[in-house]
Amino acid sequence: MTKQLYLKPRSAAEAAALLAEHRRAVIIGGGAYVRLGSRRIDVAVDLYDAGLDYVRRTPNGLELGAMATFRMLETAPELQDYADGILVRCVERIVGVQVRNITTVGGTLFGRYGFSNLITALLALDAEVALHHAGRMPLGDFLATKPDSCDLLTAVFLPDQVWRASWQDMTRTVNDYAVLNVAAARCGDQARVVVGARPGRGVRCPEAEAALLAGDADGAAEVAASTLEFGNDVRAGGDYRRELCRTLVARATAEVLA
Amino acid sequence: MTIVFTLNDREVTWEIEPTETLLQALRRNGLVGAKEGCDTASCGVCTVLLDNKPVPSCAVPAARVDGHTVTTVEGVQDQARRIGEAMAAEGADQCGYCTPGLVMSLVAMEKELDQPDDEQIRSYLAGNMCRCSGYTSQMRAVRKYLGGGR
Repeated sequence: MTKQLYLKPRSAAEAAALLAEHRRAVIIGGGAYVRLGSRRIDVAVDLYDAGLDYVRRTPNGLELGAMATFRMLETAPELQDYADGILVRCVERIVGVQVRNITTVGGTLFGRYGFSNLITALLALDAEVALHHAGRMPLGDFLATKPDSCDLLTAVFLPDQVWRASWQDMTRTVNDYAVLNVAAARCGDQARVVVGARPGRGVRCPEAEAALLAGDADGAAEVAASTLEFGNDVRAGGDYRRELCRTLVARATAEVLA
Repeated sequence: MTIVFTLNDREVTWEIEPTETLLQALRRNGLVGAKEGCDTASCGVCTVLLDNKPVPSCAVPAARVDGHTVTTVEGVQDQARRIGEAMAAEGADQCGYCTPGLVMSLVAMEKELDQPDDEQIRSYLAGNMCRCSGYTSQMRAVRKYLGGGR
């Protein structure tokens, strides 16, 4: 990584102005993956001082700033009980405290990482994201679009809903990336079943959600395993992931129904 | 570029390259307590405190700390000595390469957690790898240090 200019805006608006001024600028969130990459960066825009590192309650639910770290999610009082604590569960074993202190919500979502636990959990809770230019949209819609490197993700919004929810994942060692991750949630007549690290990104499974609404955990597990796509990577093969999906979706949905 | 920040309770002004990591800048300026291990933010030997939170200094851009507070093992000598003594007493110190990083995580843990149990200690220190000890002797040393330090 080589950077020629390193800028530290004091607000999201200032950051957006810098992105407009420097068309090839790269945003630095946590910085860990940028550091590991080899691309040449002429202008770096570091959001560390932009005032986006917060978790707060709003009249309509909860808001996570783009620079909120995984450690902040893990320890925020507002998140301990929200959706049965699955936003805490999904990040609390990732690598170590040091890495969780630099890994950011915005960097994770903008990176659209397939292995991401947070994306899977947020999709299950109907999260919305705010972009400086494109405005507010459901996380699923954001993930489906091509990344716009000129725009800036500023916050994530969680609705004021009382979700019954469950987090399940399988890792090869306790602090590793997940081989597969699953989030299930239910609130009234709404159900969500999301499976990620397939190794592709977390996706909802509407058939499994219908089974969860019908109170059928085994049916949800069966239909998720048979309809979702699974692939091979260094951590596991697709067939193994399919079997894991059956088990983890059964556990997650049973827990939500309990 | 020039950065001004608080390093171990003293304000310092450093000339750095925009491409440098905090670890590189620290070591280039003679603070060699933080070690380079994996250089991928995975092993914890480069741990320092940024605004009192443990971070992997190999993954933090040096430019980021402008206007902020950095604490390295050189700034916590008393605690480092007591932790070192506990490590030696329990036979946990072998090559010693990971010890400065462990010291910094332990210093942060003491500030953050009140009377942590073994599971909380293991969880907090999980990001600090040790290739020598197998962690059992380290856990004895940590308990001894926490017990004696209160």
